[in-house]
Amino acid sequence: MPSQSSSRSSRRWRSPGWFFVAPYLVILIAFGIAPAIYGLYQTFEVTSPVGAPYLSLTKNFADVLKDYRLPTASWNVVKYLLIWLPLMLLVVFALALAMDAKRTRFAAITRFVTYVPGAVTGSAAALLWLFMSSPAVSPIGAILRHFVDKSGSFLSDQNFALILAVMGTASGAGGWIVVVYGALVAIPQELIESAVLDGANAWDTVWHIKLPMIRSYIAFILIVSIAQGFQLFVEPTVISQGAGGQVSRTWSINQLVFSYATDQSNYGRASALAILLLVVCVALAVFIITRTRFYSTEER
Amino acid sequence: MYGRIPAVTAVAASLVTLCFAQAALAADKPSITVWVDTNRQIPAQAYKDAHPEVDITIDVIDGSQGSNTSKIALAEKANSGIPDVVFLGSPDEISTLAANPINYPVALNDLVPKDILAGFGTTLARCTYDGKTYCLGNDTGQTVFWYNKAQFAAWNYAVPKTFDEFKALGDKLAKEHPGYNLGTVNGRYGVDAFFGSSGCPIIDPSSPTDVKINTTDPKCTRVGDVMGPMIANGSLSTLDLFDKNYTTQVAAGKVIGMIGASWVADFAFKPMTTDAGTDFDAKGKFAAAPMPTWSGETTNWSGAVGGGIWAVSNKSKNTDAAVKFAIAMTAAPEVVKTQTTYPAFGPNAQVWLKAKSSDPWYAEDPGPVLTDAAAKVNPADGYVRYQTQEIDSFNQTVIANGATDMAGALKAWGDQTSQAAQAAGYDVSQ
Amino acid sequence: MQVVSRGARNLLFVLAILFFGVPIVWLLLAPTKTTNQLQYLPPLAFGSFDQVGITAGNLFGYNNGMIWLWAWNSVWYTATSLVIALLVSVPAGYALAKLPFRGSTTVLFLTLLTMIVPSAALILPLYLEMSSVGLINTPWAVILPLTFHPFGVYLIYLFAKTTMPDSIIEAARIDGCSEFAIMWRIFIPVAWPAIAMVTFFVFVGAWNAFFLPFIMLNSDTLATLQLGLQLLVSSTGAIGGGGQSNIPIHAPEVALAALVSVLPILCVFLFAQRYLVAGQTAGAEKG
Repeated sequence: MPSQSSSRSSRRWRSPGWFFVAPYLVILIAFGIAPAIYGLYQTFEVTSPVGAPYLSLTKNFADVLKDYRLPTASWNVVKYLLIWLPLMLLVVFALALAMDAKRTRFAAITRFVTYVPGAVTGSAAALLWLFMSSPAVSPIGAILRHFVDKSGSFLSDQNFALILAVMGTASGAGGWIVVVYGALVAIPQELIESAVLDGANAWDTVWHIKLPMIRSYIAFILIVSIAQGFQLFVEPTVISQGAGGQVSRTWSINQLVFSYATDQSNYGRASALAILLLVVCVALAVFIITRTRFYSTEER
Repeated sequence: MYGRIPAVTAVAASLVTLCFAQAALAADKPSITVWVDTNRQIPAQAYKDAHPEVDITIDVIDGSQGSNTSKIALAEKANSGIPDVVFLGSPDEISTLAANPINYPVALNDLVPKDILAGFGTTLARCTYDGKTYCLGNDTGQTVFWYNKAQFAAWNYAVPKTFDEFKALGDKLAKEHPGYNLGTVNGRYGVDAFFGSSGCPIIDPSSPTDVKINTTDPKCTRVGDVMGPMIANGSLSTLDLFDKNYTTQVAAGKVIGMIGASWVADFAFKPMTTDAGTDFDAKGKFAAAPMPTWSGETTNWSGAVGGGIWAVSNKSKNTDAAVKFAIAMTAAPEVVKTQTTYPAFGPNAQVWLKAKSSDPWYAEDPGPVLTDAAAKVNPADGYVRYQTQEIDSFNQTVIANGATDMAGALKAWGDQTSQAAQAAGYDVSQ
Repeated sequence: MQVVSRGARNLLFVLAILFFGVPIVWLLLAPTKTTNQLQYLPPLAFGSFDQVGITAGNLFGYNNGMIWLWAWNSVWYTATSLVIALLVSVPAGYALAKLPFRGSTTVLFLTLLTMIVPSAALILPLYLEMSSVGLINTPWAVILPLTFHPFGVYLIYLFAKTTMPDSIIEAARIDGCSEFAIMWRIFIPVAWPAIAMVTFFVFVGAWNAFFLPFIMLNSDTLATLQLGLQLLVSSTGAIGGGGQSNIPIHAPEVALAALVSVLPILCVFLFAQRYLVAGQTAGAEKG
């Protein structure tokens, strides 16, 4: 245990851990904690169109919960998560495991290609996905044309969750594949070999050795992906930029948060909704950490 | 010797005074910061070059909906970095800027010469609250009825003078030539051109805190009576004007008319039909006709789709220089050359139209119709803080369900917009 | 022995390449067509080389090559924040895993927490912070917040925790090595794959950052590639239409700009992949 060793070799000053962490701590506080605390304070400041702003513990939360767009936005996000999360995790793990099983050139090329769509962001992504989802001009237009409505439009508020899930997988999977592949690659080869010698077949190595070894990565990916899913903002904004009028500009909850912050400059409500969103995410994260076997903290 | 001292002193004194004067002059040179989008950068730069006595910093920023408001709000909150003049491409942002907590613009009534203010006509009505005008108009998107004159002649169609005739035309078109349509009513194109010209009370503010919303008003239902059946029989499209599925229709010549803004011909029809890989050649075919009249009205009101505005900060340290800049960007004759759309300032509009009148792309000079429509923009509409929600809601109700249940859609639109207005701090009255 | 046959695995790769690759092929071909051709030609058709020249001329001609200034800004903002972020995050992640101190679990928890705080709530406080030290409309207002990378710290932490046995550290300590020397000479050479991964993510995060430059910068001469592109797109209506502008920036130009913007990321990716591969053999020799 580290504490024992530091008392044993006390003749030499051992830089304490916090020494290494200090610069990061400064940045964590400056750009992570302090703004978050201010954000928390903002939830209690109510702006009104006339008169000075005033403090209230509940008004912002009440206003936010009464917003007529919130129920639809919440349901949209839940629909999205239910489709996107399993889809993306499946794609990520299937591909990463396949790439790890046989580390060929072809696998490396695939890894590269899966990353590229995710690298296109912002207005460039708006252009790309707008064209991809318009049946008249998309390379997969032939497929899309089976699903258009009477006016010829493929996008609508109802099927948007599915489209976003596919788009979110296409742009998000690549990054996670890099992480999972990197974790798999770090597993010492002898572990696999000794298991094989002991009689394990291929499926056993995956299920009983590789996946448990990267358990903490899996938990990390789950937590961050759920948070990303709940905070879905970029993809629907990107599409609605070009798909004028077919999709609401406040389709997801986080878009609603941004709308409070930018369209209405009502930071109080933006923070209130953001906090509510965060609470839900944290609750889920805690559930994952404590109730599943994923997050083990014991040393190997 | 004593005589030299006064001389030396005099020279020294005058030198010192000169230096101080120079320094004072340099320090007195007013400096303003202006925020423009890429299209206004050229006239702004031209003004800067022509006026070296003012120190102008030109910041080109993203002008998309909400971005100006959020940046100015942040600057106001930090009380630093507030721009002296700002160009708003989405003019309804002025309603958020003029209200709490931002309170950005200064009232221009006493700062701008009366004759210049008058030259803007009714285009300033929308950013006038409580008699105080907070903006100068850059351009205006008054709506007219654009139509394919050649096609109308070929099919023996008459230009509709009322909206009842417009609806009848749609019926005829759907029966005789299905697949052709008379424009789209998606989002702002439908709201402003149709409901706006009719004067439907949905964005009708009487003050920054009071607004009238009532979609069961006859001024709204008469629009629904026209729009609903026309969407149902396909003579009006529900796609966005720039949707890829719609631009293909324009390129193929399937859009034989549209109630649209003054810029629709130049910036929608023209680029969509030029080198578009279809057999349809739009050159010399499109003309402008006056807006049809709504039943019950005597004037053929037009709506207004967009139209940029300029606003000046009330915290400016050089209000004089800032206002001069704003006036130059809107009312100066030099700025006409760089204006791409119909100028809001009357005299400039006439000059701008002269250049347009000989454009061979049009079937005939659209000038007279455009000028007439500019003066008839329905004053019922104003800029409100919930504009984007109103349009979003319109698409989800009227556009989505108007063909089958217009009454229900109108009611839902009214309800949702009322909620949005209340959430934005308005008192809603019927 | 395989979980699935090699054929099935290769089929999976082919499907993946199609799914992820088709949008990119479209993007590559887009600058060869005009705006209207993007509509009436088949989506994956090639336009013409001449058109590429015209598109490039339009894009690079805007404001006398402003896009290169934006690219340069992106490069040095990213590089600076990357260097600082690495210098700060790698020791932190290592220490949190291997040199735990009282409060290190709190720091870890806070790191995880800040990763899931919705960024919209942080706009105003970050702006006020930067404004109070007068950094608004300077590059540092963008660079400094980008040095905060909890994701990277957490990745290094996970890597150190799972692949660095304590026994080696103990042995080094007994040999008299300082903690810093241990990290520098033992951990870092082994941790190249993780560091490469973190470098990659920090680079991408900084290069693609939009919201931070958007609120912190006003002058277009300070803008990054992402912000500059948005500037052009919003004022010309290149994507959603409705921009009444004579500036010749439309869909093909935006596609070309997208390719210019994506290229550095892909180069860094390829570069980082090499270290990932190098890490394989290192991992095999470990233990």
